[in-house]
Amino acid sequence: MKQKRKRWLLDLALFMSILGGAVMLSMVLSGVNDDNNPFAMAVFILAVALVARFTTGYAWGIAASLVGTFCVNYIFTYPFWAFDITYPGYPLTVAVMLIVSILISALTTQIKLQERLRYEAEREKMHANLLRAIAHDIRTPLAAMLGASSALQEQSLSPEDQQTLIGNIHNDAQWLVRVTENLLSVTRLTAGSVTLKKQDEVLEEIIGSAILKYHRSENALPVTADMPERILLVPMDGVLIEQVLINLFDNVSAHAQGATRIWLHIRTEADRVAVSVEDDGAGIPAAQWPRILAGGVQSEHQRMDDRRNMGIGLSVCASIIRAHGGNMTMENSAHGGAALRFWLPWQEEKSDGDDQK
Amino acid sequence: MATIKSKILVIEDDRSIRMFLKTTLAAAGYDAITADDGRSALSVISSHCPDCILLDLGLPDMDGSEIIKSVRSWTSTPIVVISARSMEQDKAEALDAGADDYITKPFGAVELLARIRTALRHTYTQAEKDEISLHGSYRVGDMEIDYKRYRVLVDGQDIHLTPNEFRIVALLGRNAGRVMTYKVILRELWGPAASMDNKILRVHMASIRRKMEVNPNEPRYIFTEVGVGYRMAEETEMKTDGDTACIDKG
Repeated sequence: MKQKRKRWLLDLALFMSILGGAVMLSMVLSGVNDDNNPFAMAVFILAVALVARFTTGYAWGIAASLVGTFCVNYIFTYPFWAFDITYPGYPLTVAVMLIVSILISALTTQIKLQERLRYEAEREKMHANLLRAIAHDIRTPLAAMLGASSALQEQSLSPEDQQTLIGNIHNDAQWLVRVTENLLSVTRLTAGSVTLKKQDEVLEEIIGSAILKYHRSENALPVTADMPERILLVPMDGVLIEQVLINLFDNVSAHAQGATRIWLHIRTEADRVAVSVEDDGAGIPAAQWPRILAGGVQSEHQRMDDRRNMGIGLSVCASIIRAHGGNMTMENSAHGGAALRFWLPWQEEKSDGDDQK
Repeated sequence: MATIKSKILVIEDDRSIRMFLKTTLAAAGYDAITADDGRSALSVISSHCPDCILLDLGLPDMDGSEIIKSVRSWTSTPIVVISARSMEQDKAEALDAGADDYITKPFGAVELLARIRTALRHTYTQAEKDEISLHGSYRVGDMEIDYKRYRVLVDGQDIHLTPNEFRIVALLGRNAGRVMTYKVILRELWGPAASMDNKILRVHMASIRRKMEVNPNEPRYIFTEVGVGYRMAEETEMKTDGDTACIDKG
């Protein structure tokens, strides 16, 4: 609703300024010529074409052509400053301007429609890729769980074996829970309108909570986090950003070979704040960065190495950050491993007094 | 120690989760009864008078907060809400409607039993309140809230909270173990007319943590429940949480 109104106001502004410009230009030119103005007609046809191209729908273009013909007749043809309907070329002028505006409006609408179709096709392709990645990711743990539970139903297992199998089922189930959480976030983001519940959150609270939750999983690494001197209030959907952090931590423990510790660094700039998750593992060659940031949906033969693929996790991070109006980057960490950094828009707060009632 | 088995009502529509809860509770020595929808739950509550209620928020026939309100109209039996993640709004609503605590699906047996113990302790012994009225202070780990002198000590040192900061900590301390929603805290501190903008509360909390916690990024005393509110740690958590907090108090 609000957007529609904004669009309408923008169209009105365009309409006024283009036609106003046309009137001014014609005035200047007629001052030079001081006669029946041969330029006015051309100038207004151009104005009508511009209005039709840059506004939405047909109405503005048609209105512009009517105003244009009126102006040409009233101001720029003899008798000046009088409306003369008997002027010989008048019906032709009206017709030409109307046709121009309708043609251009029609073309513009068509181009926009095609753009939307292409965009939708692209999204469809992305969804198909995501679905394929998910199916791959959940198939293996499901098979393992099914196998382990059927083995448990046999009575002949030793208690230790039983414990191992139960432990495996537990881990696999935990993994599946993470995958579904990520999927739910993605669907929440792509469902459209009611997406982000943005609120000013204290960054360190979200970080603290994410670290706490990450440390509940079995193979969690110790995390050293920067403590900003100031209290950073950043507008965000806290639950989703917490998930981004957990995904990034998980990503380190699953993929960074030889990593023993995670560092979390915070950096502020005038209009944004960055959080980077770094490790001291083997690192990732720069050639792979774009693929990883793009969500790392790998082809069949590439994904042999590791079934715990964080493809979904990282692409979820990327889409959550994008929905916040931020972006993700990657580089080598000073700690030796990889650094994944995300930026969020942020405004420096004018500090108001402490205890106010 | 076991005198009479505590009776716990499980309201959950999904059969496997209901079975899991029932089995876990029975194994832990509780008397577990179940209901699979809101209407039958309400009649079970009035006929059996359970000691604690576990309520799933996604019931098919009734809204969870409706059940809470109707139970709260005549009894203060503790209610622990079960809900999925990404339903922070519902959790906050349930807590505001009078639920005592929540647990997020999926959860393990250990976590579940801990929450139930906390909920039961609050009704039976009111241990925290007793301790506060007896000694005028609440202690957890190395932190002590001195209600008589309006100050908070960590390692025996006054951490110099501002009056508003002290009121927030005092409120959380009186309700240790329970999640206090932003709304409840704001209402308690600034009255019912308080604006629902919780930004100022966040800023106070960040400042409290800077004074109270060794590492505010890994808080030990006041936990953040993202999107819902804050919770003060209890002594029992301090002992079980071996990884970050290893404090021994005489």
